[in-house]
Amino acid sequence: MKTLFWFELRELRPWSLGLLAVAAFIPLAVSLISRLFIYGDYNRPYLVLQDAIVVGDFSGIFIVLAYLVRAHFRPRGLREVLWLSPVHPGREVLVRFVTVTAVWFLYGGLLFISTTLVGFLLFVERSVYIVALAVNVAEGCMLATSLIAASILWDRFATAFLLSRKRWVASVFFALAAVSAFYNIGNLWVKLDVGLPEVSYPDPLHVGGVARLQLDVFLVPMAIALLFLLFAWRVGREVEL
Amino acid sequence: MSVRLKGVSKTFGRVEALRDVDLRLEKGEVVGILGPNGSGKSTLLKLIAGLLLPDSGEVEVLGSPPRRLRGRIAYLPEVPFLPSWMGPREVERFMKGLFPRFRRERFWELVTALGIPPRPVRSLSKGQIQRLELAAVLAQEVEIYLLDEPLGGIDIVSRERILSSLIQAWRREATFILSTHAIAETETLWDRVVFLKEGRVILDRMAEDLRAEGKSVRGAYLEVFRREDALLV
Repeated sequence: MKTLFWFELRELRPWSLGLLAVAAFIPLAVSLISRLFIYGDYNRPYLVLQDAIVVGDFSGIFIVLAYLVRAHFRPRGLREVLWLSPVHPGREVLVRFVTVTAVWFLYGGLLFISTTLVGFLLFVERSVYIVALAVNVAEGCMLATSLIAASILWDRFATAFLLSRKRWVASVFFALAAVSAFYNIGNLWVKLDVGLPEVSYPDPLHVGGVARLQLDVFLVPMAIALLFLLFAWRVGREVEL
Repeated sequence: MSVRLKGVSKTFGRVEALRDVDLRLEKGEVVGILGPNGSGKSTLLKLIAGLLLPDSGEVEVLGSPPRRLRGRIAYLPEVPFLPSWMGPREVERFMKGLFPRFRRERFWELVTALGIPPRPVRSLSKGQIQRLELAAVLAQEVEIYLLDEPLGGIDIVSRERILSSLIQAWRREATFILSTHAIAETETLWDRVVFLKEGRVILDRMAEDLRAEGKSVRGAYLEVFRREDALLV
């Protein structure tokens, strides 16, 4: 287990540095660009910070998904050697999920901190908006978690079935993973697109309302991801590579 | 008995990779799986490793289905398996963590014997990578070693180094099963040779018996296969 964590973290290292750079500079860059070229309305700085979070969230998702896609194309021989290890294959899935999710949450935290700093530095932001931003970032983190789970499971099990030439089983898994992933992306998109600015500004009470509304749609993809996980686990243990 | 295959067939879509293969390999044998490209050598090794399941027939390794023997079979894939950032130290850590029968001392002996520089894979030549991967696999203390093309696509110096390490390794009481096209260079090494053609075993003989008949492995191969195929070796 320790070795798998070490391996995954080492593979993730350059991508984590990319995420760190995005989290540190995106809020400042978006705020400056907005201030210089786009809005010109400094009375509603919340919108600028909201944009920074949106850009930061999607940049982060892009980087994490790029990492997962690249992990999918690791050397085939490595996959075979890992399969022959007495370390249970489920641990590899668990380790990748925990590691990538932990990095993603860390990224969310950094994005929030840097956005908050930009808010205070450039706009003398009120704390109420910061709370709204925190809710926004946290929801992004939670939704991305099920997306990460779906991607990892897709990679692990569906590929194994394809290598075994169990085409029908593989097709079912691809379909389940695709539905789950697209559902998650759709929800994330809706949340980021219409979730906070107009509703929560300027009344902080609305922030809680938005959070409750998003929780409902967040539970569905999580349930799908969980079902997918259980089903994949059961069948995956029988078929393997 | 070390490995037994009974009536094993495996198809990939419409391609029949192995057809009704029967094979019995004894403990401690050094077995050469020989045949042209696409004859089913890699598929055979993967079935013995438990990486693939047969469509029909039975595969038994050390009296059990191979998938129950994780950690007791060492396997060198045909394609590279080490990530580009790994050097010998990282390989040691990686293999030790995943394979309890990996022996550090043996690994470093092999690294020295094979002349592998302490650099990450991305800065090594193809032959050096092949040697590092072989060291990682041979450093495991197991009953069965499956080596898929350990001499494939590398220069003659690397081949010599690998062959001498293999000869050292064969002194262990383990079964070695290798697929290779390098028949001429491995002529005297085999206890048993198995020729595959289009997924069928067309010859399974003890090398000693061939020699007693005044034939070399290469000569027998040429007899069995078309001369054009043999020229590719």
